[in-house]
Amino acid sequence: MDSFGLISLPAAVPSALSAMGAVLALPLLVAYTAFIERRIAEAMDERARPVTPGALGLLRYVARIARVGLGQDEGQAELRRRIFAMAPAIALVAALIGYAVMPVGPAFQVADPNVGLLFILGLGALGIYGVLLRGEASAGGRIAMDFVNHAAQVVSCQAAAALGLLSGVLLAGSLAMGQIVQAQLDQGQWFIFYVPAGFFIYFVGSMAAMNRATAELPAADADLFSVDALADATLPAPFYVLADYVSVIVVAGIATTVFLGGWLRPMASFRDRVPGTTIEILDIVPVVAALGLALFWYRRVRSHRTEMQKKAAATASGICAFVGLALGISLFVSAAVMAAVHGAFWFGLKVGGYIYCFVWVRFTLLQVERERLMRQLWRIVIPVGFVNLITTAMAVVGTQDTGLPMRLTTIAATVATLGAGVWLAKYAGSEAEMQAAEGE
Amino acid sequence: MPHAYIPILIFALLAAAFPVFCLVGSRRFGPATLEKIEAAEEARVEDSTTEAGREKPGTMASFIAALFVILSVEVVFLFAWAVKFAEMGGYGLILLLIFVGIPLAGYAWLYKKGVFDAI
Repeated sequence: MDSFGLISLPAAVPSALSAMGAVLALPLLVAYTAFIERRIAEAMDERARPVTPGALGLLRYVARIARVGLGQDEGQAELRRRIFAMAPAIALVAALIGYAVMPVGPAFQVADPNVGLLFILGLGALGIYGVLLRGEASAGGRIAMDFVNHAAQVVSCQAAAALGLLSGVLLAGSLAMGQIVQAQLDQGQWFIFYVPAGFFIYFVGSMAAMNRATAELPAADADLFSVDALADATLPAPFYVLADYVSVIVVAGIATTVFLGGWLRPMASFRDRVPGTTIEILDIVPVVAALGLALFWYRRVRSHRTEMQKKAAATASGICAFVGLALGISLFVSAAVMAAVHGAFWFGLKVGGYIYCFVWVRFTLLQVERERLMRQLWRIVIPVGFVNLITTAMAVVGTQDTGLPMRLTTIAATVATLGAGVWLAKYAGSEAEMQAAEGE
Repeated sequence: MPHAYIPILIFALLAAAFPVFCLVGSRRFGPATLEKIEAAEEARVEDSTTEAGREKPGTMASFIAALFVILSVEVVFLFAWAVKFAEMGGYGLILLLIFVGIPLAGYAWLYKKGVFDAI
């Protein structure tokens, strides 16, 4: 730790540069999350996806982002106009800043303050102002109420998500993102295996907080429903869409860091090396896998019939080859470069997998209306979150006092949490039945 | 460690610059039909303010606001507790049970009373 007050400017330069790079790359990253979502939606739901411009419509979102920048501002009465215009920007900026503490591999992190996780959660709460102010500044009473109800839902979900995260923080003993990952390396286990219930609560809470699967967007802005509305909507409403996708990535990053081992590769404590070199055996696996995939897609280029399929296969092959080569070359450069490149690869892969699950749930489960979601959140998820916290704390104390392996105590804790969850769900269900009977 | 926050500050400024740039850019370079739209919007906004008035948020929102204030403060304090938990051991567990137990007892009582039916 450096001493307080002394700020060395040269030390801040690389992080400032990475900050700049991240901000410039983000809108595109967000856009391609949307692109991938459309691809998955197509596969699962038989929905059409955009195919132009560019191969596969890959350039579509570049154009979309440019269109946002050059779009038309919407008019509003002068009185509330400023707040009305600022609100979505607040939502977007609050979501964007979360990236600053994302540990994308040991080398790529803009900053790692000792309260990193709390910092991101605070920003999430700040984003709610974006919703509330918009409602406040919009004219109609019904619209304002929709925004308020929406904000109520978001804060409820965030409380649940934070409760889920607590069990992970409890095991890590730190709020700094880098140290949380380090703790998982030291304990030789991703925390999802110690506190699966906590992970599930975070998954449910964060998904519901983000308009994704279950909640409808504020009814006033029906044009926000898809990123494809970007082109038609007037500024600054599209900022909400951007903020939404940014939050998806941030939430996936938090889950990856706290529960899924961050930049660690699977079986990170298995460190056997190839004889005679410094290369670890398991680090070769992703290289071989990526190159193999590249070869697979390359062969598909010829077997496909239509031009579009050929382009798709060629693009996939190119991406896989690039990733495989980057991973492979980094093995031979130096230990630091290897750790940086492989860390970023694993982090990206896990975040991608998490986002895939998000989209998967969105397009396969039925949508739940807001009242029902809130009822289940406050009656089941949040109490179970508290139970999970208590049982996890008991498991940690049990390991400390009796010397039983952590694996055993956490399994007992998870079973207890599940039992409480089932009981609460049954209780809530029987209560609802009683009410229905009384109603009749 | 204040220097840890300088990159975040730079990042925040850059992030804020993006929407500001978009808003200013759309002003400068966007299609010039703005004034027409503005006039129409103003008329519409005035209509809806005089007609519908501003409703108060429903009971659900206020109820959740009250619950949230209590619970979120609880949760935020717990983060600080969780960081130090490993050092405190069994004592920390007792602290948790007291700290969480009191609001949870109230929570269970409200639940039994059927107050959550308002949600």
